[in-house]
Amino acid sequence: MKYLILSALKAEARPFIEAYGLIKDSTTHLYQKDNISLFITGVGQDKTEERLQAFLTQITDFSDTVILNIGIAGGHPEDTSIGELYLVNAIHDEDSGQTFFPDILLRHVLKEKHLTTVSEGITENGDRYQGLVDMEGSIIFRLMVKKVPPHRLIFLKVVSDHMDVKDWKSLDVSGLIKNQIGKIQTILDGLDNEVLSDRNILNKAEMEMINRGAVRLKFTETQYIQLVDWSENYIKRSSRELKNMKFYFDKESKTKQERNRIFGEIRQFLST
Amino acid sequence: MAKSDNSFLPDFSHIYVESGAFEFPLTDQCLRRFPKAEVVEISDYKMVFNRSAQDFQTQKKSMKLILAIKKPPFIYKGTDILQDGGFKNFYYNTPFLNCLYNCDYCFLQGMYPSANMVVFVNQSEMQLAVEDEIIKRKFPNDPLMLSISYNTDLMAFENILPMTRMWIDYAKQHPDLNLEVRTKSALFSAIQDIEPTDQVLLAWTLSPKKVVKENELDTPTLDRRIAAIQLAIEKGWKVRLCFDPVLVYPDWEADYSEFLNYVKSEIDGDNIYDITVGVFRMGQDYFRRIRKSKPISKEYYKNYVNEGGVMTIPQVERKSVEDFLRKNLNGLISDDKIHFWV
Repeated sequence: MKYLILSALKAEARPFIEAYGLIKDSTTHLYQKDNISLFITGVGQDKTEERLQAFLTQITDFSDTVILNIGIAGGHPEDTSIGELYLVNAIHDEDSGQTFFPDILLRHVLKEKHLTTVSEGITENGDRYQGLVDMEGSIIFRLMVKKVPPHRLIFLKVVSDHMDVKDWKSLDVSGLIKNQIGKIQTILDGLDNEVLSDRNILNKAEMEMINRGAVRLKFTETQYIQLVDWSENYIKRSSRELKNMKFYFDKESKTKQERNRIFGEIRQFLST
Repeated sequence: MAKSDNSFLPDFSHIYVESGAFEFPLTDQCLRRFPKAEVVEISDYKMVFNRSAQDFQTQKKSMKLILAIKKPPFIYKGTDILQDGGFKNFYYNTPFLNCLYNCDYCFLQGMYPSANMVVFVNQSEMQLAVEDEIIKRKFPNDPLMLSISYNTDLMAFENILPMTRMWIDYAKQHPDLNLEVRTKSALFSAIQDIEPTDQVLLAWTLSPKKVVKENELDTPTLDRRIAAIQLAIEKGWKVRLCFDPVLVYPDWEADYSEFLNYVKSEIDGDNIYDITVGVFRMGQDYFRRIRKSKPISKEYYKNYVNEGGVMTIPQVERKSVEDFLRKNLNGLISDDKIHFWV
């Protein structure tokens, strides 16, 4: 599996950058090494949305990616402990009133909490919120659930305060996260399960071959959809590979009649 | 996709409860049954159940429970795809949404966006709607036949919530109500102490061992189902056998021949109320939705025809299933007691 960590602050990201030796790509602003990537979203929903939207134009394949929002959060004074790491099971957006639910399918050792995403930092009367409070969770869920199913959206929050802090700079954000790196690594290990990935019948090479061939032969949208369906049927029924179909895609069609004739030949091939 | 992966949480590790559902006794019963479950309060079950982008088959590895209050309609008229078994006033209701089992040919994975199970805790409101429909039924000389296990397998859940028992007790108070309890469960033992009634038809779906193993994931074995049937018959219950769907694959006749001989050797046809036979069939929208999810099962990559919006096997294969079943069921039960959907 691949992991994409989204953090609001550089101070939250730093422990991961150091622990995993992540290197920044100056074009995409993505820190990366091997199968772990990290992107800093900025603080608050507006900035997060703006940066993530731009980021998403550069990354298209999330088929085996788990997205983790990891950062600090305020916690209910009677319900949470400062420095403890929690797994979020519901995210309530205070402004819109919407609530989002990640699917928690895998075993874990963390306590679970409800998270409220607010638009401004809370410095007093924090006990009116149950569980945890942050400023980015809901927008991250809303944007990223368009890319991955809810079982690959993980929200991990370390409680930094009980919403009574006047001077944010007094918080040792990196230290709080660093202390939980071991538990976070355990979570990552648990998520390393290919069952969580998107299921595909056609592999990437086969899809590319079909896509290229469909363009070259000028297949219609309907023909393309049928071609993908028949190719999947062929693989599932015969357990054979599609590479022999490449022969048809080397052809060219100059007229509709030619196109349809080749399409018919492919259909015949896939029905055997 | 069998549940062998230990890294997944057990089923019902999480219970989502509608705020208004907390006050219902069934909610209390469920929460007591799963004391370690993480309870998440929600305002409406659809917020969880109808989320976009859920993956049914991955969720099946760790199903969650949703406790909700059902809103009308509480009762539905039978569809063409659902066999009515000859009953004129045929209805179904949905005490639960989804099933503990994971049969790969099941329409539920196309019908619902989620594999999580919804239990409606306001069963009494459903029962009031049934009473209303009993009065309004089109054929007043015939009872109202209600399938209570259409979108689920109610009996499979009996050790968790005794809903089959509750509905049977309810039916006994309403002589014009008949129930069909369709199941693959071996949990008849959980209701064996109930006094049998002719108002209730216990309908077991049976399949060859190979189909049970390969296509009916997480279900009891054929032998356990047969043992449950034998016990139900012994206790005096009306039993229907459902060979539905009969799956067609290379050499299916050999498997089904052996299977039907086994059924005939274990169950006395005189004790069977009737038999229903069907082939794979599914509304095209459900089929397309399942197909889009790239299922692992080969069932969705076969050669089907679309007949009036229903995806099914070609006519020639349907005919061969009918002929084969008629021939192989010969002697078990009279022909007029066999209902076909082919």
